[in-house]
Amino acid sequence: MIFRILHYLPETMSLYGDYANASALARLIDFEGGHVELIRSETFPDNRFDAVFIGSGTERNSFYMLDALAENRDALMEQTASGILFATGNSWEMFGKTVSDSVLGTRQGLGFFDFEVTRDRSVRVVTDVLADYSPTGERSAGFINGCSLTCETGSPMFRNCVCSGFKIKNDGIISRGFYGTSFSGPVLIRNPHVLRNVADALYNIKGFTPERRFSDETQSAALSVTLSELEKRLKKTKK
Amino acid sequence: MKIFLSVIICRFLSFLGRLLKRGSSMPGLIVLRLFPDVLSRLVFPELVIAVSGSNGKTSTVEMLADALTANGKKVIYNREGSNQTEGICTLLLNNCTLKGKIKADAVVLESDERYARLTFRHFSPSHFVVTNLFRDQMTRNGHPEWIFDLLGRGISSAKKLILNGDDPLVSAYGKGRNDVKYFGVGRTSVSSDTCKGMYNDGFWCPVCHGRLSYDYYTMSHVGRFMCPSCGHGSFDISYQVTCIDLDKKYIIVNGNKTISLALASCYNVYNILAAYAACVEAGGDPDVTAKALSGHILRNGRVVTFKNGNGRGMLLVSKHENSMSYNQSIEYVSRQKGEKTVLFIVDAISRKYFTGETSWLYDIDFGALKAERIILSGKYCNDLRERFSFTDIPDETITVEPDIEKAVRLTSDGFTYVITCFSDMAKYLSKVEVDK
Repeated sequence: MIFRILHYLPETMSLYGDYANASALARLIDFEGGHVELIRSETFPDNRFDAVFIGSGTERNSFYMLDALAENRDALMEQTASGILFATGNSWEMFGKTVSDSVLGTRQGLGFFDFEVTRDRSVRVVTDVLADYSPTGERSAGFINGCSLTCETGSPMFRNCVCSGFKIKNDGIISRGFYGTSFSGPVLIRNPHVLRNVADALYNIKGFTPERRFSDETQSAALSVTLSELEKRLKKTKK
Repeated sequence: MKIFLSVIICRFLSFLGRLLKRGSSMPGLIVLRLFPDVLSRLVFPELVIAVSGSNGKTSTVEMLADALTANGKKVIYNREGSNQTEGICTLLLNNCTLKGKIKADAVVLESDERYARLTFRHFSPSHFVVTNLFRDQMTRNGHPEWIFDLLGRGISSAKKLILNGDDPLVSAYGKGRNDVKYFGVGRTSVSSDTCKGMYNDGFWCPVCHGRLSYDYYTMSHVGRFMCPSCGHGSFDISYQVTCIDLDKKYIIVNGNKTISLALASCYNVYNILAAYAACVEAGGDPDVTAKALSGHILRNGRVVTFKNGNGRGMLLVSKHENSMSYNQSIEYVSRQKGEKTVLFIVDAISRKYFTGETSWLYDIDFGALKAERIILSGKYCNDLRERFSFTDIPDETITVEPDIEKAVRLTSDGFTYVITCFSDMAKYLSKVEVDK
């Protein structure tokens, strides 16, 4: 079975190694017997995709990106109904009602969801985060690096967030095929269970039965170290 | 009286700090708490040269200080790299009279990009050199554009700007100013028609957000660029490297000044060029300056050679969370002839703050590494291993050894390049015999 994956806006919105999320899913599907076509493009191709990835950008780039996203609003909406749209860092903020930036002003979002985003450019939210991945409850590690605190969405991707210096309870959203999180970078690599869950969701949509299962022991070991270090550190911070 | 007390307190605390082997920022921090405006009361010499940017600050400052000294100037500079306001305050108060007159012909100051706006609200540099703005310590600095905005507030009062004209973001500081000199590298043996690396931060024009076009790239997105929409990039390069020979280890500046390289890397070329441009702009003689910079061996401990059992090696300090720094080390090592082992150590990501964030590994072009054997060590060795699994480097080349002491033993034969950061370098160097 062919899986078509798009890494959209790879130059404009890929600040923290976000590009690797698409690579990770492609590698997993390939290992499990799917045939993968991975495209990285600054323009939104006409073709249909099974999974679309968008990463983090500078505040200016994310505003410019809004125009590109708005032009393809229908296709992106269709994507969340028939496939997966995975947005990391500040890109998922674009899918709410509005984005208000203390320097760049207020812009209409794509309106997929009701949340409103306020960016205070005098403060940068920078923190390691420990959290539970909502669909499976598994402990996950992430990093937030932006100008806005995530707003509550009702169906967050991550719950029970613990971080240092900022009050964040839940983060992101999962709604139909839309996966949005403020966690930046290669979220699917750092958290192999999230990759597994997203891949299985995609298989479900496509009706694909994998020939074998991919097990990333190296990354599981890496996550275990990160979680243990963060647990220790965040306990210290609480004291 | 304020100045007098400040100087006395600072010197006493510095003396105590040396006894207790503490850093050089504390005296300045305490003095600034007591007398917040002390820096604005000092009497500076005509030449106050600030150097900032993501990479190359310490090296550029050291070379610039040496070049100015060769030109007969008495120079003070923050050789310990304490580049925030407090560290700079300590340096200045320890080098002035009791009335606050700086005892030097020239002050050369490395300034942290985020702190320049705080330091230079008290006094204005005569020259401000900006080396580059790259992805660096994203856990602290956000992204280059964020730093561009912050640093912009720090450089505005400088009388003259000396900017890397090959960096689209840095050169944007020159927009609308006349008192600017640019330095850059012409088309040479190291030029490329494509942007090498895992990302291209020169995709969009930082001035108008049009698509930039490049004649060539020298190092990542740094190269000869032009914005067809707004003309950004159409300035003259006053100081240009016109020839680079990394094998024979020399460069030629403006067609006639030859400077030999102790460390043959593009990275070093830009640092030398920045120091050359700043020194000549400060009145240095071009010949004397080129001679002073020729074969300059950095004393800042960024390159350390060592003996380990029957083996020898070189440690290249490469900042964690800074892909450009790693890429330059990888490029340098890959260019070296002969069989080699490369050891990467990621144990503590920063010495200044805690983070478990490893996304920056994905911005590094590990796939470009050419080595017979690769060892990955430290607490985050599995993150490194995972990153390498996305390259074409054969699995059998790679060994994972979490324990750094064991990694030291694994590298006791042949020639080893160690690529790691300040936060982790001592964990290796304390186990080997460092060359004096």
